[in-house]
Amino acid sequence: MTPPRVTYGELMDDARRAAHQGMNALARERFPDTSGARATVAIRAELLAEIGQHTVTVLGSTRVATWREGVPPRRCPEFRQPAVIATLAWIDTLIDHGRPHPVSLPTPESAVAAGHWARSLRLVRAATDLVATHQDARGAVRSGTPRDLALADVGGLLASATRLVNVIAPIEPLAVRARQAGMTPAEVEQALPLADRLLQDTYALEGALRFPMSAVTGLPLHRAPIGTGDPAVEWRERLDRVHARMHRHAQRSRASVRTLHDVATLGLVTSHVLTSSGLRDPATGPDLTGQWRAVLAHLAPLRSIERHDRVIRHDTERMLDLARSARTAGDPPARGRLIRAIDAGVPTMDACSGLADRLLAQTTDAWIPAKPHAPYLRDLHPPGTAARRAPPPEAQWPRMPPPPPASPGLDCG
Amino acid sequence: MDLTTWIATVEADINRRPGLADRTWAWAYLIRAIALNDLLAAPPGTTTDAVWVEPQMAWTMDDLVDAGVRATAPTVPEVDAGDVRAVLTAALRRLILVASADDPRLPMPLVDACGYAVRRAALAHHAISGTLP
Repeated sequence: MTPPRVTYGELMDDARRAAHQGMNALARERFPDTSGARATVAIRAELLAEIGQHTVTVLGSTRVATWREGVPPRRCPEFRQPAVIATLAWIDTLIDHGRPHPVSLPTPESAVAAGHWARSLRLVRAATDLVATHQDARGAVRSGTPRDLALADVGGLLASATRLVNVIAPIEPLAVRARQAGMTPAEVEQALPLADRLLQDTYALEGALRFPMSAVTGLPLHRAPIGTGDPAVEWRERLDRVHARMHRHAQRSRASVRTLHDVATLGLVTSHVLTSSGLRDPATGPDLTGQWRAVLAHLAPLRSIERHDRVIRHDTERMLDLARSARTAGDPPARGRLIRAIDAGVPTMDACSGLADRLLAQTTDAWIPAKPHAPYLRDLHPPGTAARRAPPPEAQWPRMPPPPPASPGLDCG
Repeated sequence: MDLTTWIATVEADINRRPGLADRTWAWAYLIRAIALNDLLAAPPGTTTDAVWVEPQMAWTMDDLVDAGVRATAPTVPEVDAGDVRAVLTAALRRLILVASADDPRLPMPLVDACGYAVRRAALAHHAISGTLP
């Protein structure tokens, strides 16, 4: 029998574990019927809303109320900080997710994911209650409250909650399973919209709070947020951000092999989409695809434990998600706009490849496969961490040839 | 060797690894290698649907390495071009099954990495076969 969980960290870790189990169940098996799918969608909304309420409790309702009232900065110096603005927006987004489902639906036993998420919900409520015992009726901390809770900054307080949201915020595979189970496209779009900003807002919050393990350290809030309403606009904005990040890496003359691989992936996917949609010029397209493949082949054996650029990784993941035709197949005009945006982004992609070309020559990361060693000997150099200078690049990064001036059918701009 | 026997042989080899995270990493390595070989072996100037699988598995391996997994690479058998889609689909299913097993002793960084591995594998499976397992 599992011993009872007694600390806040254990409760939130167990909640996240249960959330993962729910997601795993969705990946493994179908819903038995529509009611199971609806109950799972509803419990997800309830869980997200509960995390919003939990966040208010952890921060202290007095402090959150003060932030919301907009008292003058002199009385509440943290009021106008970007982290505070991002936190309030994030709480509102979470609570808004619970609004379409004000009443819990009965959870059928057969909806495995719903069962796991219901357990996660109970654990989050228990964690909320645990924190609330340290607060008085006004939401202020009581005397004798542990120092970690009373004095921790916002980032430290919200780390567990944002990690939990990161697990359940993605709408796939739940949206696919819901469609399989018979929910209508309108129902799915209302409950799990493609343009959902929750994941994006969570990354932005983590950036603003500067978590040690943040997904986007360095993501500035003063820059306009990525618009998720239109896939074409989102593609363009993310590609611009990837380009800007690559510029920053080029100025520092340093980028992880993982980041270069991400850029190569983006280039190959761009090529793949344009070729399969018939937009690529038959004269230059195959050459360019071949060059991207050569770059990928060169990068494939290289490994690094140096962290990737998390902004570029996040953007690449999302862009691949957008480019998969399944995501926009139900909306041909949007798909057409996206393809045109991908085509228009080829010069930017080319600029990225130029920057990556320079960085690739400077990379010293390589991966040497770990060898089995006697476990009783402590190794000062853990396996897989050795590095040596990479061989000189055998493949040049693809560059788009300049478009011929008198070529009416070729428009890369 | 037919596909079922092939997968069973590979699975038996990978199951000899001690930990759930190690086995997940080995499946990701294998799938990524097969996808990459398929991409590189495509006729000049063309790509294949493996373009959706390879990055997901590369990112899975990164997540697992960042969570502390250090494992040796499994042997990657050759796969005929005509069998790639079936092999990738079957191997992705195995990865989902392996990584989604509940192990209460698994530390949280590995729980996260395996959880994200399952979701990435599901996305790759959907992209290459048009449906979830």
